[in-house]
Amino acid sequence: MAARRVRWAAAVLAAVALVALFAAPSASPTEPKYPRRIPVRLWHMWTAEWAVVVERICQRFNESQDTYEVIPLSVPALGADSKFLLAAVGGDPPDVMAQWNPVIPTWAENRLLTPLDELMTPEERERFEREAYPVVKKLGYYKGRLYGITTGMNAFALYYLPAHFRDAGLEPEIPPTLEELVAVGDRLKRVDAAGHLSRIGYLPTHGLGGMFGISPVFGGGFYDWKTGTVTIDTPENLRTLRFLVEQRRKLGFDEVVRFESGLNTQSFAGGWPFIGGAYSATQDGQWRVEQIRKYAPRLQYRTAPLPPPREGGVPLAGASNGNFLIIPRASRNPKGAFEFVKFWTGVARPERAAEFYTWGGWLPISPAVVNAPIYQEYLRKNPQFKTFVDLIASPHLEVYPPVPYQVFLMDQITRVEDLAVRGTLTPEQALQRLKVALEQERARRRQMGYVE
Amino acid sequence: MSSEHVVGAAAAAGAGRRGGVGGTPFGMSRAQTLLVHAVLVLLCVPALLPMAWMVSTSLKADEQIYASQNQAAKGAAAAAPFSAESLVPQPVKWRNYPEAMTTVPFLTYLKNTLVLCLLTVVGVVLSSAIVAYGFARLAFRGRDVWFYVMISTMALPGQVTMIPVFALFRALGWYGTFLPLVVPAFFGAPFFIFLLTQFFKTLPGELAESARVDGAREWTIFTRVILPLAKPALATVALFQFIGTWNDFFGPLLYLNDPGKYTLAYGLQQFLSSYGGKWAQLMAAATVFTLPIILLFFFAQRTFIQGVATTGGK
Repeated sequence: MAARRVRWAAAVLAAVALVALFAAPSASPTEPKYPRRIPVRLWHMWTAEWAVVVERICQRFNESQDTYEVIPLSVPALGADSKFLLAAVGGDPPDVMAQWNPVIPTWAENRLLTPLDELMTPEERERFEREAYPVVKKLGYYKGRLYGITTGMNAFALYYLPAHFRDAGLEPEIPPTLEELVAVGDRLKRVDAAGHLSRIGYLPTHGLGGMFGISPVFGGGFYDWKTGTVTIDTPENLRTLRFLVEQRRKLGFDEVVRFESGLNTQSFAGGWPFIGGAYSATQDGQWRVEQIRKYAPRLQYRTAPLPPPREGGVPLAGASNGNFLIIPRASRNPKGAFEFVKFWTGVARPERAAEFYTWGGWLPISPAVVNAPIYQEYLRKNPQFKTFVDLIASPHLEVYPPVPYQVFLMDQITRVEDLAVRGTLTPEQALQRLKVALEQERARRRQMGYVE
Repeated sequence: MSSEHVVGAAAAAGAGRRGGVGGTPFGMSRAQTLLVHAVLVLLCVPALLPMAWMVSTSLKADEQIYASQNQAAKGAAAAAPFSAESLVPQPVKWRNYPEAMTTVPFLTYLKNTLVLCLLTVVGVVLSSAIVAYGFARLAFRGRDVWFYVMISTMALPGQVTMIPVFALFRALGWYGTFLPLVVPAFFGAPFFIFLLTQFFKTLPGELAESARVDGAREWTIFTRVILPLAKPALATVALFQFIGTWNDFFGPLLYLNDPGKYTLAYGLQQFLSSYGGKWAQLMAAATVFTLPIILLFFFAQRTFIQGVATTGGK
C-alpha cells in the first residue's frame, strides 16, 4: 500500500515537473522582426558577450535602412564548417557568414564563395585598395579575387611584467634586439630548490608564436607573394628554426614540458598563465588586453612588438590572421549581404564602423577606422592596445599561404618544428622533411585532378 | 512453456548467479567477499576520479580553481590535482549551478532534448521491433538477403549519406525543424533491428504456435505474446536510443537554425565556446547534463543488464 502511494506521489511529481518544464518560455527564435524587408541570414561563431556585440551591430544595420533585415545566428565553432558546407551543397547556405580566414582559399577554390569585388562599385574597389591594410588584402584575396573582408584582425606581440624586470635589476623595457631579449629572459627565469623551472623569462611559444610567426622577424616566411609559391628551406627560415631549437635546448626540453604541464592547459581568459606570473614575457594576441581588463584589472603589464634579430632582422614583423565576412555563392541575397558587409567592416563609412571595432576590441581594416575619434578614444583608454594597432599596419606581417592545401601545410610546419625542438631532427632535416611532405601532397593533389 | 515459466527460469538463473538469498557468490567467505569488493572499489577509483573532479570543480570558487596554478607560478608547492585537499571545495559555491543554468536557456534546451528523446525512443522501439519480428519469425522469400542488406547499411559511414539525406530533408521542407531528427527513428535502426532479431530468435516457437492454434493472428502474437516477453530487450534498445539522442550534437547542428529548438548537447557545446574559462560553471553544466544519464542507469540497470545479456550483447 505504502509502495503504491510512493509510486503515485512520484508520478504526480514527475507530471508537475514536466508541465513546469514545458511551460518554460522558449529562447527568442530567429524570426524576422521586419517581415516586409528582405531577410539577410548571418551565421557567425561568436558566443556570450561577443554574440551580444554582433546582435548590436545587426540591430544598428537594421535601423540604418529599411530594405534589409539581418538575422544573426550563432553557430558553435565545432562543426560550423560542416554545417556551412552541407548547407551550401544542399543549396540553403546563409546569405553571409563570419569565418576565420583559413577557409577563404579552400572554399574559394571550390567555388563556394562569391567574389566580393563583383559586388563593389569602382569607387568602393578603389577605396578598398587604397585604404585597407596590406595584411587585410593578403588574407581577403585569392587568385586575384576578393572573397572576404575583415571584421577584426589579430596580431601578436610581447606581453611582459615590469615588476619581474625590476626585481631582476633590469629596466622594465623590451630591448631593441632579439638577442638582448633572450639575454634578459635568462636573467628573468627562476628555478626552485630542486633545480626545476618555476618561471620562464622569455620563450617563443607554439603556433603563431613559433616558426611560422617568428620567421618574418628573421626576414623569412613560407610564401613568396611575388612568385606565388610556397617557400620552405630558405636561409631565413632555417635561421628561425635554429633559434627556436636553441631556446628550448638552453632551458631543457623536458624541463619546459614539465613546467608547462603544471600550468593551466586551457588558457582562456583569467586562466592565462601569464596573469599568474608564470612567464615574465610571452607572445600572444591583442584579445588578451581585453581579457586582462576584465579578469585581472590590477595586473601591471605592458606590450611591445617582438624585437628583430641584430642581423637581417625586420621590425614590426610577425604573423596575423582574422575574422572575415564571406558571401556564399548560393546566397539568396548577395546584394543585401554585401550592404551589411560594408556596414560592419567600414568599407562604407569607416568612422561609423569604428564604434563596432571598439565594442569587440578588434583590430580594424584600415587607418581610416583607427583615425576615427571614437577609436582614438578607445586607444587612450587601452594604451597597451596601441602596440597591436601599430603592428597591424605593418607591411611585414605574414599570413597563412593562400594555397588550397593550406591546412596540410600549416599542420606540417607545426609537426616538423616540434620534431626539431625535441631534438629528433636537426633544423636542416626538419625543413627538408617539410619540403618532401609538401611535394608529395602536391603530387597527390595533381593526381586527384586539382589544379594549383 | 508459458511466459511465466520463461521469466521464472531467468529469475532463478539470476538468483543462482547471485548465490541465493543470504549466501555469498562463488562460495566465498564474508572476509573474502569483502576483500574482493575492496579491490573492485579500488579499481573503480581511477574511473570515478574525473567524475569526482567534475562535481568538485562545479562547487568551487574561481580563486580555488586557479590557486594551484598561481602557486606553481610563484614557485610554491601546489596541491596535487586529485588530492583529497584539492577535491574538497572551500567554500562550497552552490551558486555556480543557477549561474550555469541561467547563462544558457537550459530549460528550453532540456525540453527540446526530452521531446526528441521521447519521440525517437518511441519511434525506434516500435519500428525496430516490428521489422525484427519479421526477420526473426516470419518466413518470406529473400528474407536472409534483405537481412544482410539491412546489416550492411551499418557499415556505411554517416558522411557518405549526409549530403543526399540533407538534400532530401530540405526538399521536403523539413530543414530547420525537428522532423529530420525524429522521422528517421520511425523507420528502424539497423543495429537495434539486429539486436531484437537475435532476441526474438531465442524465444520458443511453441509460444507463437499455441497462440496460432487459439486463433491469434500475427499482429496479436507480436503484441500480446512476443512483446511482453521482450521487455528487457526493448528497454535496452530504448536506453541506447535515449542516450544517443541525449548526446547527439551533430544532428541538431546540421538541421536546426533556431536557438529556441536547440538541445542540451548543442547548448553545452555553446557554453563551452562561450565560457571555456569559467570552469566552475562549465562543470556545473556538465554535471547537470550527465546526471539524468547516471540516474537512468541507476534505476534501469537491472533491466538494462538483463536486456544486454538476453540479446547476446554481453
